[in-house]
Amino acid sequence: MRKFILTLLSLFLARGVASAALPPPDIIRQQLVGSVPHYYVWGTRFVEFQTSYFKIVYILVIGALLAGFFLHYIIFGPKRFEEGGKKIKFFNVFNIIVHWIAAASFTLLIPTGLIIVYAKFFGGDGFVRTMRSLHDLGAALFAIVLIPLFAMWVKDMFLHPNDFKWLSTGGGYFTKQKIETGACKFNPGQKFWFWVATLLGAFMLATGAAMFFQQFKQGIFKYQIDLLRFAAIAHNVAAVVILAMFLVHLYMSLFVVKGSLRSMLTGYKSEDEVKYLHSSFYKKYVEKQDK
Amino acid sequence: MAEYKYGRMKFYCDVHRCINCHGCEVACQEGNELPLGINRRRVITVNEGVENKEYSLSISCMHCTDAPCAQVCPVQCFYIRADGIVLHDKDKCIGCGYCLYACPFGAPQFPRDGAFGIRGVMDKCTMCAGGPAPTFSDKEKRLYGQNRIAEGKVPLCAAMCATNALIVGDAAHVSDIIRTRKLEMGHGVPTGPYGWDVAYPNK
Repeated sequence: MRKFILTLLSLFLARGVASAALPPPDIIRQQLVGSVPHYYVWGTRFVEFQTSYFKIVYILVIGALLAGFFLHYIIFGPKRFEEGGKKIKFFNVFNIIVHWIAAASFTLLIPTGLIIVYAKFFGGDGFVRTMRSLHDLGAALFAIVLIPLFAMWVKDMFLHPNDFKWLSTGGGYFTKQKIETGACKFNPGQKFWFWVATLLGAFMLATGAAMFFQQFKQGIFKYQIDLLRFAAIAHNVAAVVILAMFLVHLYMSLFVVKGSLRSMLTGYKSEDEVKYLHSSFYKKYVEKQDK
Repeated sequence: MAEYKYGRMKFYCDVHRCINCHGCEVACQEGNELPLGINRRRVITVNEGVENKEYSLSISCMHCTDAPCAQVCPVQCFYIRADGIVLHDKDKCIGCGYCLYACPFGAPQFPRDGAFGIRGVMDKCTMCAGGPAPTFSDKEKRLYGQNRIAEGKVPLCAAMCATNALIVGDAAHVSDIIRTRKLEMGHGVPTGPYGWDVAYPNK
């Protein structure tokens, strides 16, 4: 069985290398007759998006979020929890490894992506070209980690009745006191981030791959070039959401919830933190311990 | 000092004359020593197989007014000369592919580059006007091809076109030529070979 898989894998790799070495079939040329008069459908749409929205939207989102974080930190401050108490196991080794590979891929993808968007600011040339290659490398890393990431946490990520309590208290983040938020293992914010990272991430991967390979057989759009135009628009729009959620995730884990970075490295959270921030999970945990 | 009025350089392909010989494609490819698989100029056939409606024409970068490629480029490596020729700086280009998505004619193309064969910097028709590198330098020749405009010559494709279907030049001159052709179409056509009646006066 192993031999079979290895043979298949090597065949697949050999095909990949062979197809990369040959000049690609010029699908765009073959479809040129039809696609030139068809330009006003997706072509002008792409030009409009690229010239009037993308560059402004990214800087606005980053600026607004940073300002929001700053105000939130000043008004409500971080959440500190007693570190001395009992430790509760939250993540296993597999979770930790997969999380950090995904984290590495996102830290590669997001800054390099922004450098490509603001390429003029960085002067283009070799630097931005290298960043573009790193962007592809980050995408490859994300492609490897996407399925394990999705599979290991998906069962905890569906909306739960307790989540509405978390939503009504604002997650307990808009007050200086520590309050029980009613969240399960993951709170709705984390759940949203999970779905954005995996589903929207997969969409980003698909549209990115389309723009990376450019010439391949597809059956979605009538013309190849229209698929590429759509992919470029969709990739940029979805990236705004991912960028925003990534920044929120960074801010929450690095600045607001003290000790969360350590919990993602060791797999254990302090009892005090779980009691307040994941109170439903804590109640179940205590019941289990009592038995 | 009176301001100098530049012409507006344009390509025009006369579909009544183009015979689908792909000569312009080959001339451009070989004359500019383009990498394998890159066609700055392409001959396409419209209504292929439809009787009386089929015609061919040669298209490449059309050097558009308000060129959309120049608008979407994230590095803004494009520049438009005073005579309307759209050129780009291959040193700045990052090969993102946005110009291809913005182009109605599929003109920008990307040769594979480096050890891993990733997409390299963009290549397109320069109307044989070189690029931002010093005129007639080796670098200009290697990156952008010949600079025939600076030599006072017609671009390769139009220069070799056997039927003069593909013409290039100042917009006013091009339209003059096309107008003359349209007006004279079907007039002044000889009914017999030249000199026939001299050689055989008795028929």
